[in-house]
Amino acid sequence: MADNFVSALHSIKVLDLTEERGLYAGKMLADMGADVIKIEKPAGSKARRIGPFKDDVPGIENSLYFLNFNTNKRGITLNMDSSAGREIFKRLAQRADIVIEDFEVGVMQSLGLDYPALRELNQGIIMASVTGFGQTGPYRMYKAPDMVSFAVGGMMNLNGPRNAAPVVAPCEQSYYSASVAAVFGSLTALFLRIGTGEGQLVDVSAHEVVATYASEIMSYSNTSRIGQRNGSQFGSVPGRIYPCKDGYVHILTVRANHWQGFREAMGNPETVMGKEWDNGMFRNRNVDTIDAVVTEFTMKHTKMEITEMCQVKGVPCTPVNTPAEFSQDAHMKARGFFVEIEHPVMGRHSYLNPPYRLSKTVCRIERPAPLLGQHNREVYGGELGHTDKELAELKSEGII
Amino acid sequence: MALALQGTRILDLTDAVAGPFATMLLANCGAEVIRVESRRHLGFRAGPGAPQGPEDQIDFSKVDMSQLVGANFARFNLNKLSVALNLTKPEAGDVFKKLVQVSDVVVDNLSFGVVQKWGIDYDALSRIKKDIIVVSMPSLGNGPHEQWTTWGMNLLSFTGFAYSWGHPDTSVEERAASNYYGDYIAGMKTAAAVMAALYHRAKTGEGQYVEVAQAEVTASLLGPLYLDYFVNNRISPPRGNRHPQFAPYNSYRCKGDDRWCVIAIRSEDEWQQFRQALDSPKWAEDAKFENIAARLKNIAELDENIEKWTRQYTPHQVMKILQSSGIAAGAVQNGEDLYFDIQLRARGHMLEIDTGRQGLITFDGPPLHLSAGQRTQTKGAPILGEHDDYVYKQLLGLTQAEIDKLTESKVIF
Repeated sequence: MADNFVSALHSIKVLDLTEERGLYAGKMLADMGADVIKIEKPAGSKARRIGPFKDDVPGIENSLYFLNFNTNKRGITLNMDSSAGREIFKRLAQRADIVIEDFEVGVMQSLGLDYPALRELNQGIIMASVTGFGQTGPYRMYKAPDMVSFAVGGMMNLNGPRNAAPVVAPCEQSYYSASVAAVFGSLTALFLRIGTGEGQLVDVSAHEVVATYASEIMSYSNTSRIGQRNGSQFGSVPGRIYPCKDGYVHILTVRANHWQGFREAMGNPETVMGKEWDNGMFRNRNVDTIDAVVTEFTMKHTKMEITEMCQVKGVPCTPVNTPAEFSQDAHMKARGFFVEIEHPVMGRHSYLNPPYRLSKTVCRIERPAPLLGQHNREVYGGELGHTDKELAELKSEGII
Repeated sequence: MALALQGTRILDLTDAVAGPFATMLLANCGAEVIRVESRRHLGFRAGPGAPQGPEDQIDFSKVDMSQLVGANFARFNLNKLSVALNLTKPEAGDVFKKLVQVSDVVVDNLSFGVVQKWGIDYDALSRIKKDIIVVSMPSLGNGPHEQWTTWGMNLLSFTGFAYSWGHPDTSVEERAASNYYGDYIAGMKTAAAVMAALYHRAKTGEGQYVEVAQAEVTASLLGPLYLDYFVNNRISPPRGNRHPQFAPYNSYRCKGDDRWCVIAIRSEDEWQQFRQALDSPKWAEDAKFENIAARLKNIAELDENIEKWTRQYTPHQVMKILQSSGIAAGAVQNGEDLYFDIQLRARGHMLEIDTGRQGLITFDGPPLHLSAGQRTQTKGAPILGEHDDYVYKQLLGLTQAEIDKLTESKVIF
């Protein structure tokens, strides 16, 4: 890193014990400049066994899943099942600001490392626990891989085609959701700590975060309506993904001016010129007519042509991209959203940069995910003061 | 107990979902969030019974302003204050700048170029208050598409999210892109970025400009998928509910109309427990299902057998039976289930608020629990201009005569 590197969280030390659900939390903090130490068991984190893998070959250093969620972190190995390992963890915790964990409820307590125990060692420590259902309540012991959180949280029921099964989102979104909440909670706790000197426990339930994002509770309470899934359709028709000459476009006409603008973009087709078509409910009742008119227009043009024709009229419309097309998009490239870095095993390839730009504090990908135990010597030797001989012993005893 | 953001004042120039959700999260932790808004643009405020039509054709002297607190607006604006200020008037910019002098953070999700047009962009504001934190939430940010108007759903399509969200046989037209997911995450990430900037300011005294572009936030949720493309040059079709490494792992029909559950088995131990929980049916003894490789190979038949079992039960029965045996399973809950969810209720997630006109409504509480620093009492969403007196008299020290004059010229409007 450059000598003049300044980042918002550069003075913050984070211990990251997460395997899957909370992995992104540590990445977000690391992207904002915190010193995040990923602690893995000596055999390597569970995340190293999750695909996709480079060339589809599983291997400890070959998981793109692990690679994605651990950029900017340092990595050490530690056997927390051994008492010597737990003692080392306690020494690290004495110097840390934030601990993130995503074990099942009760595991940290059984290790003697739950929040009250860590607080004894370090009054200012902030612990973020990222679980499927939270630390309290009748479901707290329930198992919750991503799909379970997404289902019980209510997002799943709302997504998918009308006449097919509900469908879970790609890339384990309940994990992302819970992790982002854990970061917000930890940073809020950190800010409060400036005045009080006291840390706290941040309790994040993936189920609860997803339930909030499902947007159903207020709506049921207020109108007794239960949301239904309906493909990509949102708001009044036309309001979905339509096919076009070279792919697909996503057109919305939520507001009156969107519809008027879209009709102009289509060249004011005769069929839908009557005043009644300005009424969204009327359009919904005549969805077949709308779909025919819209498709006749869209099939004549490319997705970028349609997008430009709509945008000029203030109509929310975008192309439907694959990841490949998005990576080639002129806007995203111009913004430097993709960054190439070198990894000792994976070689040089692109990553997505973090999605925030702070004018005074750097926020970008500086280095790839750590190799297994890459920073053992730096952390245990340089920072905890163990000699090379002691490190060799800890290694042979299976502690690091 | 001290609230985390007590004494932090935030000027909120946001509308729709992502922006108001971000500032509401900060309000939940004690920030004084003041919505700076105007009758000139009602946006998401309008609920059922509110005046229709373009704002410049509404006679506001005949409008009961309490009608302009629709439930959809309220759910993202709890615990906030509101001041009426029409920023399209040049004099309003001066009033706004005075307000900035006594504030800490400004958040906007206005269309491209609007803050520049109004003379209240970061350059202008940092000149009058050096350590101000200004946060913009554009949909795409500066660049070739900076003028685009998008809703969060468009960005699901733009970033590859919609492309990847469906069953393997779902047509692109029917893929999932009808939700506010991207908006919520953009809101939460923005709130986190505000906290990082506030922390930095507390340590160094330095303010800054923060930009969170929603397209980038949305794409950032697809990391592994993008690396699969960057490294393996592969664009996978949507995966649906099954898992490439585990089985059984899917959604299954239950008793009832359009009722579903999910079951996710990730190890041989769990498979054994699962068979026992089903009272060891004969089909499950078959060599076709004896290990993970075999189960993945015979996945259709495996899922068929399981669905015969799940169809006898409600989603919640399946969840109860299997979770009691230590197996990951869940009801696919609908809106009604969520409202009655015993777990959410036990955790105090539900906020019941007397909204006056619309009666008692249940809102989502904060989506995370802090053991210190979060509000325990919730106030409803403000009426437009409800806190004009507090802002103009107490914070800015304007006289009644000055306020009258600004009201007459529709600066306070």
